[in-house]
Amino acid sequence: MEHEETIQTITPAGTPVVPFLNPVRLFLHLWGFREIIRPMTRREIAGRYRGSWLGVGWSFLQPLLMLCVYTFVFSVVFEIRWGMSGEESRSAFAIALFMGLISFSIFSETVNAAPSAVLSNPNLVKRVVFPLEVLPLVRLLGSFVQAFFSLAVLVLAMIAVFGTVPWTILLLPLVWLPLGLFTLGIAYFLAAIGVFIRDTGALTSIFTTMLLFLSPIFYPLRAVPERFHFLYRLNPIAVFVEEARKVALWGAFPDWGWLFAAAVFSLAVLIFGFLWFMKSKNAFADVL
Amino acid sequence: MNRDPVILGTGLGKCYPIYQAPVDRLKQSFWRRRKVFYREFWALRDVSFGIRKGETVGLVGSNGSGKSTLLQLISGVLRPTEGNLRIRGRVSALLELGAGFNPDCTGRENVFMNGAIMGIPQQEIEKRYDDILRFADIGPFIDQPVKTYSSGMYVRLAFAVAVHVSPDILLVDEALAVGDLRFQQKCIARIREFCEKGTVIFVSHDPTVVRELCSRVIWLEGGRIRGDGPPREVVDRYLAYMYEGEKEPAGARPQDAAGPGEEGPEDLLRGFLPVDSACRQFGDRRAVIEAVRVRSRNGTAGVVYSGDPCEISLYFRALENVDRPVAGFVVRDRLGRELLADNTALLKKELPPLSKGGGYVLTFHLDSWPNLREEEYSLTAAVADGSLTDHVQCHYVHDALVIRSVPVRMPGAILSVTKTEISLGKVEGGHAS
Repeated sequence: MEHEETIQTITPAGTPVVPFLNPVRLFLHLWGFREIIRPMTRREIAGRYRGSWLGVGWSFLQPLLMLCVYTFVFSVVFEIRWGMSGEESRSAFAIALFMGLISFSIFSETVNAAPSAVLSNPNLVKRVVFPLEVLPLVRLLGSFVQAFFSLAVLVLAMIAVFGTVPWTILLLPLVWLPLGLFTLGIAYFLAAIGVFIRDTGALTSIFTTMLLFLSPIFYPLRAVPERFHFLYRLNPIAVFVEEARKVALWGAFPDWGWLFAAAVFSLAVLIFGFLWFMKSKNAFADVL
Repeated sequence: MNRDPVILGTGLGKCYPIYQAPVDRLKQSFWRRRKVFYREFWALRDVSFGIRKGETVGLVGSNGSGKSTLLQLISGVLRPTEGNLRIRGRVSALLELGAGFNPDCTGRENVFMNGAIMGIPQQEIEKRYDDILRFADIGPFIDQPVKTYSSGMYVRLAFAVAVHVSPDILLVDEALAVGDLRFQQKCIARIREFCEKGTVIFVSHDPTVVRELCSRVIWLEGGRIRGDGPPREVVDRYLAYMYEGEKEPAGARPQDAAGPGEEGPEDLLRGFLPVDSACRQFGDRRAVIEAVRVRSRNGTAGVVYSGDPCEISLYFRALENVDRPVAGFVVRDRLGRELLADNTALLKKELPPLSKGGGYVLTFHLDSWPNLREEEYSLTAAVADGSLTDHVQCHYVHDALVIRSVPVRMPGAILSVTKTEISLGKVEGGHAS
């Protein structure tokens, strides 16, 4: 045979999960499935608007339209101010809100889809040997691609309103990366739980909606009374949303200390979620 | 050739917990192992075997004997409950063809994804891509999402991928009847070709195929290995088991309450199989057929050899008096075509009246069984009251027995005579005028 011979041992216990405590092993493991992840992600993006006349155009149009609605409701009806001076504040508000939403939807899209990620693919669980751990990741990558589409809309809007874009926007990946790790960890956890407890999906969507309003997205953190700030500091999503806005809009550096803490924390969440997923993977076939 | 086994199974077992109610599953997770709320069902138990490189192993056994479970363990879809398996080399399974396909992805993408799932580098698939396309023969559809495929195209593509990834071990389930006849032939040819050089595990109900293709047969029954050895020997034992119904595994089939063995003289009733209450049947039940038997040559019940004398026997009991009894049988093939039939009226043999409570064994002695294709046939038996043209059915039992016919040679059509001589004469001067 022209390919190298592999020896595998199939035991009741399954693949040991302990090595994945090492994040490098974890990433290498996922990297090994890139040939599966790439086409699935492509389909994930193309599949959203498949068959529609505008196609991927919706990826731009949908956030744009939502941006208009949010702006109208929150700045015209509720008259919330970001605390910026002058006439431009209304459009500036829209941009600030939009930036918050982009970051948040990376989290919410992935997490909302997670409980059904495995559940909706019983074929892949019971009938073939498929690396189920790619499913939540594919969803995350899809959300990231969507986020970059939205970011392009945002940059255009910034140029139109401010006439300039701060260079610190280049630091955005530094903020989004830990956000991605955190999101993926939660997604793994929910994907595994969702197989056993079918209520997970409903609970998750309620929870993400709550988080949407409890994170500084429709309002600046400054608008929150000082005594509640510590709560926001404990909400990882709030940290990511604020830091992302700082670098992308206000041209400021992120709060390095918090960002580092958040990154370490996110990695821990990812490892925990991944181990949880891999550990319960063996039992999926019994309950699907 | 390497003599180490490429597949080594040690004490393999697969257990399914059976819960009476869903709530028991929940209770179980709270109680953990301290209290048990389920019944265990062992689909496979204590199965140990070694398969060497180049062997073609047939896996036989009745339904639910654990054949598929074993294949699923080897393919890695299922995990054993106990024991372990060591597998050397790449396994490709022709089990659930196309189950791993993503319906939204195009055929091309699925080919690459399928390869990636099997752990095959992209370049290797690229090299074989054209072969796969040619084999699957689905033309421009390859760039369409596979959900638009017909079921035949779907399976063809999956089959093409599975056999072109140069597996070391190929797992084949008999449910290979994919696509049209031409494609089936192509599949079989490909598998045969692979049998020459690779290791194949082949599940089938068809003894002819197993005998022909395999170099070794493993017979599973009730989740355990009942036989392991040369094809002819093991298949014959398996067939004897299937048709004679010797020692049914507990619970496999409900035993008829009135076994004929308890009532009639032992030797007269040997090899009879009680009529299953599940058989379609009708009649006024003044006489009831309780068991039937077909045997030839060496006495193996249920197996008949073409060209040999054979006996078809009905064991029936009269529940009322029957004045002018007529009894007969019909042999049908799988499609329900009647191939062979006879009855006492046609044979101008008048039976004495049956008296209430009496048990009878009626045997038709056939001087020669026709040369039928090797497959399964069913025997329908009937007892009636009256004449050939005017009678009332007392008991008519559809498909009371399954018969396997062993041909002396391959018949050209449904059947042939057992012996045909050929002579060839040369005609001088070319054509006859």
